[in-house]
Amino acid sequence: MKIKFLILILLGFTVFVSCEKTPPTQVDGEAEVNLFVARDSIGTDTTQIYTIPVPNADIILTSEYGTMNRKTDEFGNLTLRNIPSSIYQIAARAHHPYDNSILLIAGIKDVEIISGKTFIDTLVTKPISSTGIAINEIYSCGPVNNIFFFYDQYIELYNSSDSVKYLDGMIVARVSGQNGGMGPGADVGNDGDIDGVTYIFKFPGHPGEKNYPFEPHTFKVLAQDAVDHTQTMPTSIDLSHADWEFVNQLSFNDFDNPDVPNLYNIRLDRTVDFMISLTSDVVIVTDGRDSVWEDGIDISTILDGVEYQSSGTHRLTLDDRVDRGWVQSAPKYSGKSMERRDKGVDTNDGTLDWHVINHPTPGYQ
Amino acid sequence: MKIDSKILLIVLLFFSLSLFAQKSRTAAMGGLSFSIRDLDESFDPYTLGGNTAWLAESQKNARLEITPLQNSSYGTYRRKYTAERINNYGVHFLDLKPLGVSGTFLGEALYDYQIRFKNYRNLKFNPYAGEGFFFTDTTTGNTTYKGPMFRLSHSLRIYKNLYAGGGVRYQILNGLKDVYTFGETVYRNVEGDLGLAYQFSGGITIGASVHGTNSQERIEASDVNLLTVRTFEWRGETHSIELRGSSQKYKITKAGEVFSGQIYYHPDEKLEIGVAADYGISGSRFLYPEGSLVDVEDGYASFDVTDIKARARYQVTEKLLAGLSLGYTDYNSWSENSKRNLLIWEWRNRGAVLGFGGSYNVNKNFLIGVEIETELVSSDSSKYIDNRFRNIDVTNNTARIGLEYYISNDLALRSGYNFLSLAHDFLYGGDKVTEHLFTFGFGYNINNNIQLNGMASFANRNGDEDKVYRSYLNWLFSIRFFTF
Repeated sequence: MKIKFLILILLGFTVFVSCEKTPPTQVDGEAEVNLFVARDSIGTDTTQIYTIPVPNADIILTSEYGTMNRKTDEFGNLTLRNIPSSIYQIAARAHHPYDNSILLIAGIKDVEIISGKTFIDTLVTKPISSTGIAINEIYSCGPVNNIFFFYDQYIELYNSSDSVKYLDGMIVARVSGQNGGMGPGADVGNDGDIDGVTYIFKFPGHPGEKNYPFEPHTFKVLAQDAVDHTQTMPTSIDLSHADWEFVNQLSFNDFDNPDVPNLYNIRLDRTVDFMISLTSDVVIVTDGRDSVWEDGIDISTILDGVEYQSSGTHRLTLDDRVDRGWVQSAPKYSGKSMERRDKGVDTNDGTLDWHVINHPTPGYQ
Repeated sequence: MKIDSKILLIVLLFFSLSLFAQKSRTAAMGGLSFSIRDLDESFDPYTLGGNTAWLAESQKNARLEITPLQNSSYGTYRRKYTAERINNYGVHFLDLKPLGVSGTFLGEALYDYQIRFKNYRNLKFNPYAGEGFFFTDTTTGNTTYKGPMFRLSHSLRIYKNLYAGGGVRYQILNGLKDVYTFGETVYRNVEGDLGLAYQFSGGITIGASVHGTNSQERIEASDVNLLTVRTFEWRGETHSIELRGSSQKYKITKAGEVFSGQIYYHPDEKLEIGVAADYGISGSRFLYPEGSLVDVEDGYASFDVTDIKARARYQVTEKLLAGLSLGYTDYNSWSENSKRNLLIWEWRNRGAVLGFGGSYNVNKNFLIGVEIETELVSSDSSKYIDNRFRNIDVTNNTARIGLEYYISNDLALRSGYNFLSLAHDFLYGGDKVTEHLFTFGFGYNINNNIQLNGMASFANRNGDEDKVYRSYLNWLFSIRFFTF
């Protein structure tokens, strides 16, 4: 009996047995990155094309550990030692030395940097300049509060071109439908459009008309409600001077500031204001040629699209023809905002183009 | 983080909670241990080596003991994730019952209530357990842990001079960080042990035992208003992964075994020698949920420990007792980034301790004891992911003095003093650390059936050339019933 009891106890003891592992042979934190950032001489020297170092360029490395910001030295070099192994997105950007309006950019995606090895690369930058209308800021998370106040959301547009653009008939849409598991902003059926439009609002007029000019190098603030929200929530912002206001004409209680022109709802089964998710969503701006949202919005009509997400391990769902990256959003009710690093500069990589700022800046205040 | 030997600390914490009440006499005498004759400072396989098989021979006096206790520490000398002040309250119950041929039964219960004030960001129960991982939020707040611990042990003679014993221990704690993220913790720990001991002729006893531990700590941080909670999964001290959501979960599981052997030589009342050796291995897994059912291992930490201690006590004259203590410890640990199978930290602590002392009965009412210990520690830490490397060899010294004075046959007063000089403090990371510890206590026999014991201690530890300090205030009061 005692022996059986002892065997039973010994069997019970197996629950404690730990699975001993052997230590890894490679160590983390010993990777090295050597980058050389250059530009070609086109535009500055017509006799011969050669590469010129870009000193003091911003180098942005993003990985699961977050974002690292560094600068190249006077010779265009950057060496990083003892960085942890991970998959990195690397971008370089600097202003052109002879024309501050031109941004030099370069980037490499999904680089696996492995401990014990040195990653060496040359980033040859390309000039990016006036590209037209782009989303410049998205303030979605709401001000600091604990009563779920988020009605001070706005989207800011920037005309980075040197010419006047016109907003007539343009569309702003929220695309948050799950698209049968492919996620918001995906092209279901691969038919050249993105599906899952949730809200769709339109500027007055029709594409091609010229009644609502958008001056070069200026901003347009599109407010959910163009009011002074600080009267309701002291931590909020004053949007009474916004340029445009989203108004759902089918709603009985959507506030309408008579001094601010409106974008109107064109999805007739929606009766609420233009609201976007606080931390995870897709927002697009189109030229308005395709307003039939039911079968998706043609990608060729999209001027700009941004996907923002709260999870650091998120995978992009927005079609990569619209944008190849996503933005890490600000926490809910933190009073922070998402803004392009360089106003209006859209390299079609939201991960590298955007960052979180501590306070919203409507109209680039 | 510098080099830690917290595994030892945690193991000691578990056992000290259960044995502390019994050791109130020596604890009140400055913590004298190997140079004083005391039932609870024997060198036998149970008391020195934790082998339950020898419980039947080690503890022959039935007793019921109830002990309320408090331990507090506070001050500016602390690590980043150590709370500014920690108050620990407990009530401990012990029931020891010799049952004749059926052996000896020991039952223990403890209710623990711990408050950590100004707990900076940390969400783990043991932030410094020698692992290369932390789990934090963005808040500083008070954290409360509370819950019971139960232990049952049984020992009996199974064949002539062969003894067997075993026990189980179960502890569960609920924790709550009472600010914003409302980090909730459920900590569960199960332990079991089995042992055999054989008594040879001539006063020699040998024993062997195995001790298993399995624990799980489940942490969930969520905001009651469903706002975003930001938590950080740290690999080392420099690099972390930010996690966001209305609720964030994290889990730590630990499992390990300790294999022990004991030799006890007690030929007569004059001489007592005990040797206990432990070899322990354990592993900790750091998991976060991926989906609702699957936990993904983000990190793993491995530990192995060798601990050998020897004690000797000799009655030199009728009044003078001499004691000797030797010890050797070797702790090895490594932590890996499981996803990439990369080593992020490894450390090794080796220590050798030599102590000697004696106690002297000045007269039949007055006992004085002194102990001196010197510890040589060699530590090697390579924190690869943080690019921090450290190798240190230090000598730490401890001096203890204890007094006991019987005012009458039934009332004894006790006091003691400790001085610690640490070239490096492995607990809080300071250099040139000194500690002064003062202890007081009493023992009073109300009658043949009931005994009262009480002790209080105050310690002040100064680090980094007295720029920072941490104070410790402990007390306990026990009432013992010898028949019940």
